[in-house]
Amino acid sequence: MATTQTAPIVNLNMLEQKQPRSKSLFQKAVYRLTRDPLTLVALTVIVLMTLMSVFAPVICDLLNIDPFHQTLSNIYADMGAEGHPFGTDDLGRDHLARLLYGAQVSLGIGFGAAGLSVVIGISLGVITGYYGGIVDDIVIWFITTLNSIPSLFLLLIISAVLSPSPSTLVLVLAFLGWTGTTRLVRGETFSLREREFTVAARAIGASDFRIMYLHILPNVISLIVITLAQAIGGLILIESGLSYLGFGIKPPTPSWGNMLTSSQELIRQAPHLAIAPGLLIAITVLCLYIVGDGLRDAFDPKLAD
Amino acid sequence: MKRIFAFLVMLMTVILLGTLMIPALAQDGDYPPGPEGAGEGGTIIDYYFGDDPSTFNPILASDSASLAVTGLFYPAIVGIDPVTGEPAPNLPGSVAESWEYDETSTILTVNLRQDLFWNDGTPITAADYVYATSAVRSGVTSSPRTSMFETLDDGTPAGGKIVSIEAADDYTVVITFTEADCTAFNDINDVSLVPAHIFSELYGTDYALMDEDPRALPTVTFGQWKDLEFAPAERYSVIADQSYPDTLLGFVSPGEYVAQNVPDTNVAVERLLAGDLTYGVVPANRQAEFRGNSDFQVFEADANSYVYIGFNLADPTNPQNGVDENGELIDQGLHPIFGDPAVRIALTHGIDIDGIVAGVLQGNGTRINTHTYPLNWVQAELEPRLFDPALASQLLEEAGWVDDDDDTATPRVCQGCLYATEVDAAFEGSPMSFTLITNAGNTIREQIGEVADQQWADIGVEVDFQAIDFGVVLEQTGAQTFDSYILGWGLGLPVNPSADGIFNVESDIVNDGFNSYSYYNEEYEELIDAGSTVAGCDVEERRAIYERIQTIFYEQQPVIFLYSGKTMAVAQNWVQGWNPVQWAAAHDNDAWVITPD
Amino acid sequence: MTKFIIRRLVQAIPTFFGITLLSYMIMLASPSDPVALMTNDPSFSQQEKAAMAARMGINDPWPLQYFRWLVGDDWLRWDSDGDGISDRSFLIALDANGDGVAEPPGDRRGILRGDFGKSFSFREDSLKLIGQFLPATLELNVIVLIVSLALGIPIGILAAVWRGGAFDNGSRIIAVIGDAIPVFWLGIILIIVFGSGGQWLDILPMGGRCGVTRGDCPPVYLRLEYLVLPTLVLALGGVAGYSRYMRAAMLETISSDYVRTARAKGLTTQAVWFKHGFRNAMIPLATFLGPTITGLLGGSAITETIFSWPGVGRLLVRATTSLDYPLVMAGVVVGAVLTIIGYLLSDILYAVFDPRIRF
Repeated sequence: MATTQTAPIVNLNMLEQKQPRSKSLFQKAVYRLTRDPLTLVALTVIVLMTLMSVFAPVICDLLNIDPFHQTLSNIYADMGAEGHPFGTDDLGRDHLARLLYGAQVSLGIGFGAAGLSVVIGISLGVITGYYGGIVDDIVIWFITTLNSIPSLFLLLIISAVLSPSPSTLVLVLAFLGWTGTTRLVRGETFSLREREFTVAARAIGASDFRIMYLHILPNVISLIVITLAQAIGGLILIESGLSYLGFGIKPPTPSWGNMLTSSQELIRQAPHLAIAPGLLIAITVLCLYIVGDGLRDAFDPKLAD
Repeated sequence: MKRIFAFLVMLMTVILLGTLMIPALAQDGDYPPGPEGAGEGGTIIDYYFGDDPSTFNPILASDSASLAVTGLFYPAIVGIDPVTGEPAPNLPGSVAESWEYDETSTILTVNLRQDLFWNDGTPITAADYVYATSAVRSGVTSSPRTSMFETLDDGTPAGGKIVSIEAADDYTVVITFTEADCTAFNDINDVSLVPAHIFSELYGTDYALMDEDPRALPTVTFGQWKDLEFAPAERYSVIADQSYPDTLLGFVSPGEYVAQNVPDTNVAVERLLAGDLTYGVVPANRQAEFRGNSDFQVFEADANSYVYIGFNLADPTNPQNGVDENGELIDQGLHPIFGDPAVRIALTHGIDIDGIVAGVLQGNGTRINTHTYPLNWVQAELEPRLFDPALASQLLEEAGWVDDDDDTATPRVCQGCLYATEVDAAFEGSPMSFTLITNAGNTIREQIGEVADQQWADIGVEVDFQAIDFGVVLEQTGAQTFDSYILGWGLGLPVNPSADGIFNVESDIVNDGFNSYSYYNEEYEELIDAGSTVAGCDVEERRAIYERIQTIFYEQQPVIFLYSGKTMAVAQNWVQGWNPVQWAAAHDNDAWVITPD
Repeated sequence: MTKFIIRRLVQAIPTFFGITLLSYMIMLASPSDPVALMTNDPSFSQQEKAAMAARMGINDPWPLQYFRWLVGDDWLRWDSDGDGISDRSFLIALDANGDGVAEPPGDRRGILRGDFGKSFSFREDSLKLIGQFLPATLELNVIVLIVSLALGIPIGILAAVWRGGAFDNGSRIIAVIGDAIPVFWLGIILIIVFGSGGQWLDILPMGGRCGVTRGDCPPVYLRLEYLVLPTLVLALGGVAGYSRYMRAAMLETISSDYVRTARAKGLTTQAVWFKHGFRNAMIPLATFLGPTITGLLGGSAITETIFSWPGVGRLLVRATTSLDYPLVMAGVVVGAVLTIIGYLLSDILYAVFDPRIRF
């Protein structure tokens, strides 16, 4: 559900006259962000989560916990049990360690797939928007085709056929997700293409690539950052949904999605196992959405300061 | 004014309290209900999970969902007593009144009750049994029960002992066996009676037509229930059939029986706990929540089933039947890893079975060491192969699977393993790596798979564990292209300790038989025959034979026997009249009174 | 308008082919053997299976297989002289498996004529099955849509009007929470809360659609209690989305030039917000119809599974797990066709509502 966006009016140092004491959009955005406590808090949470997942091996070494080591005699240990700060799961594996490594997988898939689809989306969007013509027709045909198939079905079928590992899943999700970004970028590029500064640059003889890279790209960045934040959140949820249906990352590799799925039956016997992954997913996605909203507000040139 | 007001308030309070009491008073604590209670006893809400029943035709039914439905409508020929587990005459749900063998013990004559009728008034006769068995014997249906016969209609050997089944007259069935068979009743009860007058109208003798419409709704039935209504992926429902003569109370008490489809066992348990379902069977990992729970009546029993890890002993790239049309053995080839008994025994030591029972099952099961389970009347004394990774590693080394780089993270490689020395020398140096599959959605088996994956990795064996769709699992095991799998056996009644039909060589039929492991042992084959032809079916003599069979399985370890679980059936507190017995937890459901509050 | 519709329909044709082509290629890429699954009959020997596979054209080049799947083969191999044996064929072989006997006449009519084949697990016509389960999904999703709009739009408007206040921040967070919780987790928690949360909550059924009454499904208004939990789970996300959208759209419209002009000219705040802001913000809402329909079929799959709702999403998930190709293909193509129609509808609606757009 993308909102309609109109092109931000951008100050480009290269071609615009310098005006005293006016800030660039980027500077304005940063200023606005610092005044938005909600978004700042959310951003901090995201950064913390990412750091925890990146340093998962280090943390686990420090606390002497292991996400794969089973102890069948010590299943469903409570939180705060000896040697297991968050308790153990249904096979006696340390819960905290699995949460940390699960963060690696889930966040990795979210960031990876979103990042990859944005990269594809931007490249394709700028190229088709700039060149138009038959290239544009073909890409639009492909986008419409891809969008017309309910994505869950496509995802399920591909997952059933390929049985993905985390890295393959990233590729598959990126393959299904680049269409939105492409459309957005393409639209932007269309309008930017006819602006004076682009025409001028062409008149000077700048190469196509240079024009696309230096002029058009910076203008769409703000759009992209916003979609990125939301896309990551959506992808984390998709990963957990896939795990529930039986198609996602398969155990013993922990991911928040498959930990949440297998904890369904434990809600009464070991609630801490069920609550933690669900809470983590919800908080992470929540913060990502808030950051996305905050960024959109920050970059909106029409909102008065 | 105030006094009137106060009086009105008191009056209203009294009335209010009174109305709250009425339901409690109306709930009759008396049980059993009188004849006016026919059909007034409420609705039984049960569940089934996973796939819908694939068929309502008992000749074709093989999966548990289908069998649950066909069991409602079609009687068996000889009944099994739900208390003793032994065949008995005149039992509800069966038609035999008496039976006798001839002097050679090869001809069994079963006399049917003459007072039983299908619910359209047609008498139940021997022709009904003959029709069903003829359909199976034709071999043109998808029925899996062909193995009860010695040969099919076209002469192909089917591995069974029954030569012929005929109707001597309307109420007498004559079954001829190849030899005296102490396990006869396992075989003849495989097929239910069907209303021959209806089926021959629908299909005649063109039995293949049955597979075209496997979900044809039963029209004429015999049982406490009738009028099947089926909403795919949602539920099926039946109503009380008061024409059934063998009810416990003289009439069928509940008015309706509904089985709702739930996606998995966890939702089913939650709905049980919520009071949404009347009755259900609880899986091992949730049984603790019902034990001692005052909202439920709980019944626990040992199950006549067990769970195991099956190995493919033959060459997975070239699946073959065990015997050809002439009964000659076909060379099965050897599985590169599991063809060696030493490897199988090593792997048994490498997995913590006791830990699985204590941890994954939370104690709701018993470890087994061979093809047996706690209810079996044969129990050979065998030393359990305890969890001993060091011993497992040593056995693997001796079997020619060597950890050549001293790094347990990489799998062992074959250096002088059996397959390389006897079949293909080029196999030297191959890693010890194989796939292990089980059906997704069965949490316990998925956990066992993860345990095996981890513990075998610790001794240098690389396992690719996958939980996949049950249909796909069956496809791979049927085709005998698998490496190993985790599944279970639900064993029929009466208890048959010979494992005939599971491990014997004639059951090794690609895509059809249960011996997907391609197991063959000459001594075992002889013992199967010996056990079923003991003179007078003397119990002690048979016991010795079956103990020897169990010991053979233990020595050869064709599969890893894991455990036999405990079943737990629960019913809500508001179900009256439930008296479960060992072999049939819900046998008396026509006498229940259900009054949810 | 008619020309517009016709033009769009014509444009949809290459899309349709793209969809079928993509689906077919994914099916071909599957490692498990669809032919083996179709010949599930255990009495077939290896040679018989190979012969059947050849008869189905498994050895033909894949464009031919795709073509055959599309248009059927009853006109590709037929019996022209009525003797029961096919004697003419076009593009495909008369004797495909080389056994000297002509194959039987083609019996598939192709997906363009609605023949997707029989589902492997249900053994019934695939398209018919989809049609059987579709009404349940539509019922659920239409109600979810109504609830989401009824709640989401007012919340979004108020959040925009009182921008920066407690309501705005509060609704932002709550709305987003609804979007952030994994659907199946919410479902299970609701089942537990409403199931075992005590007597007061024990009023809703945990699953099913038509209840336990025999006979035909009673009309919707008689079984609303079965809709409550599934709708709750799905609508949460919808409310979140629509409220955030309305808020952003309202804010954008309010700060646009023409509204500023109207204000400068002295229009009251109320008129500004509702006559101009609201109506113009509603316009792009019509464009959501397209993606909503796409989401319809797949999006409720998880909810349908948890609450045993007999809908198309759940059907297709099971079809995919059990590799029931005819059913999966039918679902994909039907979903795609509905999506194309949805996009067309939303384009028309958009044009109807926005006076700036003319054909």
